[in-house]
Order: sequence, then C-alpha cells, then structure tokens
Amino acid sequence: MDKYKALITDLDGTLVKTNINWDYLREKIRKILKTNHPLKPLGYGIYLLTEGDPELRKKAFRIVEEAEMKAAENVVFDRKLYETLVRIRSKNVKIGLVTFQSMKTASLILEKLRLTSFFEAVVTRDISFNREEQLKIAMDKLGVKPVETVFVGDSIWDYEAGLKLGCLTVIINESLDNLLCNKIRSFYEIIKYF
Amino acid sequence: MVEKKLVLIELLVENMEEGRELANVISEVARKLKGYDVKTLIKSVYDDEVISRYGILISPSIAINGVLMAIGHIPSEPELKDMIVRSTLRI
Repeated sequence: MDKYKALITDLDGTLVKTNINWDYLREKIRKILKTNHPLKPLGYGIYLLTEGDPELRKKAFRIVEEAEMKAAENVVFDRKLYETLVRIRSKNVKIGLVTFQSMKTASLILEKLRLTSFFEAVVTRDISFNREEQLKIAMDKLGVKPVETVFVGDSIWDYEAGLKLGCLTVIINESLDNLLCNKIRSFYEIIKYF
Repeated sequence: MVEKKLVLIELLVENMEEGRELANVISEVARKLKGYDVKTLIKSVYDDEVISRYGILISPSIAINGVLMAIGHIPSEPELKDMIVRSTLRI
C-alpha cells in the first residue's frame, strides 16, 4: 500500500501526552483577558480576543508557553514511538508536524522524544493559528497533495480541517466516538495505513 | 551573483565502500542541480555521534540538513533531487 506519501501529525494528545491541565490554564487566561470566552482552541482564542492589544497577547502567550515548557520538560523517550516512526520513514513516507504549541515547546518535546530529525515540516502557532492553514503549509513543504496524506489528530478541529482538505483523517480520542472517521487507540497503530 | 543554497548531505552507512558508491550517486545528482552547493559527508551508522543524533539506523540512510530523508534504501535520482530542493525550502 503506497497510496499515502506523507504522515502529518498533531503533537499534544496525539504524538505525546503532556500533563498540561488545559481547563485550569484556560481559566487562568480568561481572568487575564477578562472574558468568559470558551477559549477552544486556546491559542486561536487568545489570538482573536487580543487583536489590537499586542502587550496583552504577549502576556497571555507567555503564561501558556510557561505551562507548555514545564510539561515538555517531563516528556520522556518512548522507544515504541521511535520505532514506529523509523518503520514509517523506512517506507519513504514524509513526516510533518502541526501544533498549536510554540516552536520552542515543540522543539523541546521532539528533542526529548529523539524525533527531531524525522520531521521535515514543523508548523507551529508561530506560523499559523489555523489548523487548516497549518496543514496546507506542511503539505506544501513536504510536496504532497491532501489525497496522499494521512493526518492524525485528537480534536474536532483536527477532524474538520483534515476532512475539509481531503486528507485521510485519523482521530485518537475515545471521547469523539460519534465521529464517522478512521480511529485508532494509540499512535503506534498509525503504521497500518502505510 | 545569486548565492548558492548550502545542502549538507550525511550518508549514514555500514562501510566506507558503500558510502563512496552512494556519494558518487549524490554527486551526479548534485552536478545536475543548479543553485545548490551540495556537500556530502560519509558517516558510519555505528558512530556515537550518529547514534545519539539519529538513533539506531538501518544502512544506508540519508540525512539532509539534519533531517532523515531516507532510511534503509537509496532513493532514485528524481527522489534525491526532490529531497535536496525540499530541504532548503522555508516554511
């Protein structure tokens, strides 16, 4: 099966599970921004609500990044994950990453997982806050079309973006059981698509 | 004068002979590509620096500008060209 030439993956909740308490972090940011906005997704929410106030935006993102970096420090090498990516890369599949985390955090996590050299494209929130746009940029850099791409994520935004672009979208999230899409229970299972 | 884009290709192999053969293939591809300054380095897959940076690899593997572009096989000429071009693309 060599229909798929690329794998693009989300980071937190998909490739790795960090211990960030997102609900707590959202609440903290709501207080700073003086809003009751759901802030889902968080980065995009901050981006929308701080338009025209660069200082407030900087402050909010600094708090998010602090939490992300703290969580990233605790990420440990996962041999099974490493071997899964070696097997996928050995099949000449290009690998990219899209994440709403910052480049600083994403780089640290990839380094901790010893996966830095596997990713040809890393698209973070420093580049775009929009998942669909992130995916387009990653595919452009990898030189692949949506129909040649497997996108794996864990949120409804991942599902919508992947579906809209026409990628084979795979979701890892047991609470999204009602979605009519390809599902896997852990990232290691992604190998079956290649 | 337009500055050439620097491309560092690491050939990660089991023995030097295999590396030299691969280097010849790469040089041939690089010669046909204009606008790229391609440098090749042959390294052993058993080298400590290679292992710590790229992990345990299958020979031959190719890393371009620090990214593993092929593991366990020699890419075809069009694939190599594509890899070199893409490795210098900025997001």
